[in-house]
Amino acid sequence: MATSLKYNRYLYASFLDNKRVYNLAVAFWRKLVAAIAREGDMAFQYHLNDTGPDGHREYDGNPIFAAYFPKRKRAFRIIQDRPEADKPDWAAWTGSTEGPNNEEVPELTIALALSTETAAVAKQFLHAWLLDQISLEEMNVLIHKTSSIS
Amino acid sequence: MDKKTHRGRFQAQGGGLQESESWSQEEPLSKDQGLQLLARLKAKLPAKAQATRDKAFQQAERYIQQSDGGIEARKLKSFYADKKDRRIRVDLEILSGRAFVTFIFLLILLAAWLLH
Repeated sequence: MATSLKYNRYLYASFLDNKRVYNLAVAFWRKLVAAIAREGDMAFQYHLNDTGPDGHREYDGNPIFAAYFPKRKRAFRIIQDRPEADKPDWAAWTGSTEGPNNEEVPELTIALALSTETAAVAKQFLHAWLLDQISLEEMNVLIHKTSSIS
Repeated sequence: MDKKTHRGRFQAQGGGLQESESWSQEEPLSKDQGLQLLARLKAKLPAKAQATRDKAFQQAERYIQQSDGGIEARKLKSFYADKKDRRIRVDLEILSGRAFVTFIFLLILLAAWLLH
């Protein structure tokens, strides 16, 4: 589901042009996810390789942060885009990927231009996905409902 | 069933579509093989689905073309043509091993294996 939000105040908007800003955006996500992990007394693992085709760390925001939660056997991925006028600010979808032990695990992906509003949406989704452990179907309903009121 | 050392898949997703092309083999996937799989995935799609994902396929192709020594798992990328609907996309998943190595890299691997 894709949607557009109003009254944006974009955060770390130059993250694709400035590695320092990029790292600040990563730290923003790490802090948000760590808070959710603490609330659920859960550990999480960075399960993706962030090295790109040229052998160096990627700074493209695709994804900007991703983790696997062994206690929940669930993964998520945040893709951060450059803000664009007249384009929706976020979309989210569910699917599956492989966990660290090569087992199939459900994955939530949120793609967004980061603002206070989209961060709140992401936080709500990650909370529901990792703490409330709602099903894939319920997650899809939540994405759809949130989209329709944004 | 034993899983092979080098595995992954391309998927065309969103808008009610779900098509994929995967690999599972004992040697790293070469860049050429990766590009062929991507082209095969595109060819499987209806014309309209191809058109709406055209830029996404181009992004994925460029990403593979940039690789020399290959890309290590686990790597997930989503390429979308238009932020109007990010769900209309092409996904790349390198789930295990290494992918998109050059022919020269494969030769070096082979030589190293023969020497041992």
